[in-house]
Amino acid sequence: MFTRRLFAGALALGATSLMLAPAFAQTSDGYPDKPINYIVVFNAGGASDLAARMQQKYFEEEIGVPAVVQYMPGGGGAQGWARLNSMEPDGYTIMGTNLPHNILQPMAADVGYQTEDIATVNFFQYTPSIVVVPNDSQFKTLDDLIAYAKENPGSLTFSGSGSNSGDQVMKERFDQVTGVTTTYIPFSGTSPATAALLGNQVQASVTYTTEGVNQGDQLRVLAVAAEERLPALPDAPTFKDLGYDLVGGAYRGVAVPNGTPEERREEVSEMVSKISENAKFKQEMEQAGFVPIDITYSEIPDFIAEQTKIYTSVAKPLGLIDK
Amino acid sequence: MTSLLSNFVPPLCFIALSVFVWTDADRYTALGSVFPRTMAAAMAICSVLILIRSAAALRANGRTSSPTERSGGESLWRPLALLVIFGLWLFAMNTIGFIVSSALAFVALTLIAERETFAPKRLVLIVVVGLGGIVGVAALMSDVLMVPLPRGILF
Amino acid sequence: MEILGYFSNALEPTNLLLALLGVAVGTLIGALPGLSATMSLAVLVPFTFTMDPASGLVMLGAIYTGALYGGAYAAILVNTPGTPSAIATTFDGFPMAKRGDGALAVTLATLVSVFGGLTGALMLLLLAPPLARVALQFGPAEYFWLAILGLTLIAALSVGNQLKGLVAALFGLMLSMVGVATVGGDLRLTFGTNALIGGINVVAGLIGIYCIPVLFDLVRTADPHLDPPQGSHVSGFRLREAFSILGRNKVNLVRSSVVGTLIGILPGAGGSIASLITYSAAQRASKDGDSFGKGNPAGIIATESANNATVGGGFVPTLVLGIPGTPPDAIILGALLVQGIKIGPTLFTEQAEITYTFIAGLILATLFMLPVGLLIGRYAYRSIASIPKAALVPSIAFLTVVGSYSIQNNWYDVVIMLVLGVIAWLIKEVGYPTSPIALGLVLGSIAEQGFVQTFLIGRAQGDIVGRFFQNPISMFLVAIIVMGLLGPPLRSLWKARRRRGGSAGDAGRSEAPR
Repeated sequence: MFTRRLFAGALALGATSLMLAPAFAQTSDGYPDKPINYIVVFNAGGASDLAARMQQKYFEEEIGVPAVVQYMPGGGGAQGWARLNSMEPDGYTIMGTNLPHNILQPMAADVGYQTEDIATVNFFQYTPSIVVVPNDSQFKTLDDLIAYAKENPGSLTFSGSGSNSGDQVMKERFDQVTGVTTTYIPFSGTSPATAALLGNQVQASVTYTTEGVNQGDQLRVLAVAAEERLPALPDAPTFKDLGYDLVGGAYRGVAVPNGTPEERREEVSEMVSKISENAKFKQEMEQAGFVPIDITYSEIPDFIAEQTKIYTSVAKPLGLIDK
Repeated sequence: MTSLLSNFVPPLCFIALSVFVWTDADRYTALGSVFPRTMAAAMAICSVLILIRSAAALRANGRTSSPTERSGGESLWRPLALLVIFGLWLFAMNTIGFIVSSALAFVALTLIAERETFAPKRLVLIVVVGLGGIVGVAALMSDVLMVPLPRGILF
Repeated sequence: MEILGYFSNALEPTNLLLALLGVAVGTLIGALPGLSATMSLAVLVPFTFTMDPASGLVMLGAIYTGALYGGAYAAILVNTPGTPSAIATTFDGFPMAKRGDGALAVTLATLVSVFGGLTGALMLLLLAPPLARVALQFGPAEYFWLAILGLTLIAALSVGNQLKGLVAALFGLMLSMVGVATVGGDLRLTFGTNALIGGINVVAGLIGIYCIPVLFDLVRTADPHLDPPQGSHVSGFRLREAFSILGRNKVNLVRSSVVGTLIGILPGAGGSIASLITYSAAQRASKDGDSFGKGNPAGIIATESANNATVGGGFVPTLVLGIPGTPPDAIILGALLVQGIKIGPTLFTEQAEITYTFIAGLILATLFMLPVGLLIGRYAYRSIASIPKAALVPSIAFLTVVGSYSIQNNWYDVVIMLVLGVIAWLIKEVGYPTSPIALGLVLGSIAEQGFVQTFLIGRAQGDIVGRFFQNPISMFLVAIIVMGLLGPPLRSLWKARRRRGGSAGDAGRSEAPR
């Protein structure tokens, strides 16, 4: 180990003296020395794609090799994840992952993979859930909304993306925490759910910060399910600010096929961390409504266990678990 | 006989399908089962009506309408061979690779489709151009459009 | 007059070149079944990071509009829609090509695509913000009725055999249910395989339903694929003839372009629904509606103008609301977001330069379709007609495989494509129409989601039935549906009564073997 580090140090020294920046970015055994295939399991244009594209911009600069984004959509991502472990475990094929998708999908049905099959090595961003209403809505604050829901049980409608999804779980948690009963209307994606809200087809919507940022003035963000306020949404209070203990959203990470050797997994994790540390990348992510995070390989198992606990506790009353 | 087959077997198949969908809907949530149930019921009703109509026509003039009447030059083995080649092609794709399996299938399909007098020169031309096209499209897919084509032990 | 300034931006040599290149590439992509605009746009997005935002957008828009137009080639010449929005173009396009009018059909498709594309782009330029508000009035109930309106087309597609057409459509609707249900989250009709969890991809299904039966028919009979009569009549643009046909179809052309734009602004509806609905409208309005499906040029005029009009229409919600109208719009929206451009009404004020340069580029690209299309069309028909079957069959087969694979980079999609294709062929062999299957597959999820969402919202508000009819747009759609269903039988009843003074005879019509 010591000799390797020494070697790497010598190499780094030589490289800087030669002004070879890309070589400096590489690790000791040459990884990565060819383009990385970055597979997105959702359609182009979605939030997962957007985040991957933002990372892609910095691959050459930070890692020294380009990333090639490929798409394998289908089944809300399940078809891509089910194929992950049959891909080449050499660290040159990486795939975007998503919590709670990777927890909720296998819980609800046999989708061809289990939560523990997905070897996520780094979670690089977090997209908090938000509760929004149109900007001309009668609900000025979250308390207005809750008061209305208490007076009219079941009649307040929330749009969201899909059944048994992160949005629906969030809506159920909202009901639990605030003690109201509301109706969830599933749509075929985040955009149709927002369109239904803007057209006053539904009264409120559970969606993600990215959508709140995109829509700008057309929506009023009543509350953000994050620990602290976001730079992109400075005026929107968190649930905690308003006295409700509700934090949640989607965590996006990068996984490798489960045959990948331990050492390579750490290298992939470091690679992702390196991009996450780039100040410009961080700023762009924040502007789009993402929260840049850096949960590295060693912290992953505890993190997934903690998230699984949260979702299992909500999914049971939802009827998601029938096993 | 064939007209009997084409008049009575399809509606029976559709009825079987609608029964299957109806019973499968037992597993679904209330929301998920509304639509399948409605579709299954409608399909069963329409199929029964088709059966009744065919039976009435059979009784009225002793024959049923036959949907297609074609001229000569028919070939039965070619469509079957097409199907078999297609099936083998799809399965070979994952074992011997996309390019090789497609090339083999291309040659086989050329031979099946050839109807005029056997002209080796022309066939060779078609196959050569076709193989060039396959390699070209495969290269376009994997190198330009970033589509990960199935890879096998060969190409 | 600021707008004119932005037009001169679009006229910069690089932008002109990108627009021309984009249209040419897009046309080729669209013409090959399975190579989709979505895929090529996704590939090109990284290149736009390094470009000037407006130039990148111009190129992406040009490819998109070219691809929608290119879909007509495969539809007319091979009877296989190159893109889903060209389904309805096959109905009359291929019969025209078969009888030797392929060149005329392609010329017509080119002219009306340009007209439709310009209509859509101009409405985007002049009316985007108000149109976006109209799009928002379209809620679940309206989508449900729109899908039902599309499904009434079955009647037109299966004249004389409505029951069989209905069964085929129901089969298509069942296919649309396969996989994880958006509403309810159930895993439906997957037969326990993971392959079907994602459902049946519409494009893969369409390739199967349209291309595989064509292949079977090609190898079974010795007849040539296209049968152009000998003589000089066949060649050339036949522009004069095309213009005289357009002259007789002015109303059809304008109606289809405007309706196409309006359907385009509805997120999720898209070119396939636009072309199906305008096709049925054209058929109903026509005096000789019976000749539709047998090579009536009016059919091509309706579908091809409508599907290109959806390009401009689709950008309305994309640019004004940040809600993509179609999958290609979603990619373009993503490209904008990565570049840090803020979507919304400010796009038309503070960031007007990018927006108007883009729209101007879109208009230019649409105009470029004329020379590009006529040039390609000049040779496409004759070369397809002269290709021997021994080359045509393996080539189409290869394209179906590549096409269905590359939609989601998924081998299962190829298997689904083949299985559906064989089923479609068998169903066709026993005398059932196959286009209603495609219709059901395309419209099924819209109809179901619209229905269940309306039901849920209605239940929450304690007025389920009212929810389906309360909006004026719903009432309007319902009125069209009722008129469409009751109109033709009433009209023929009335005609028959006037002619024969009583005993109406349209009952015998449905019994005629076809």
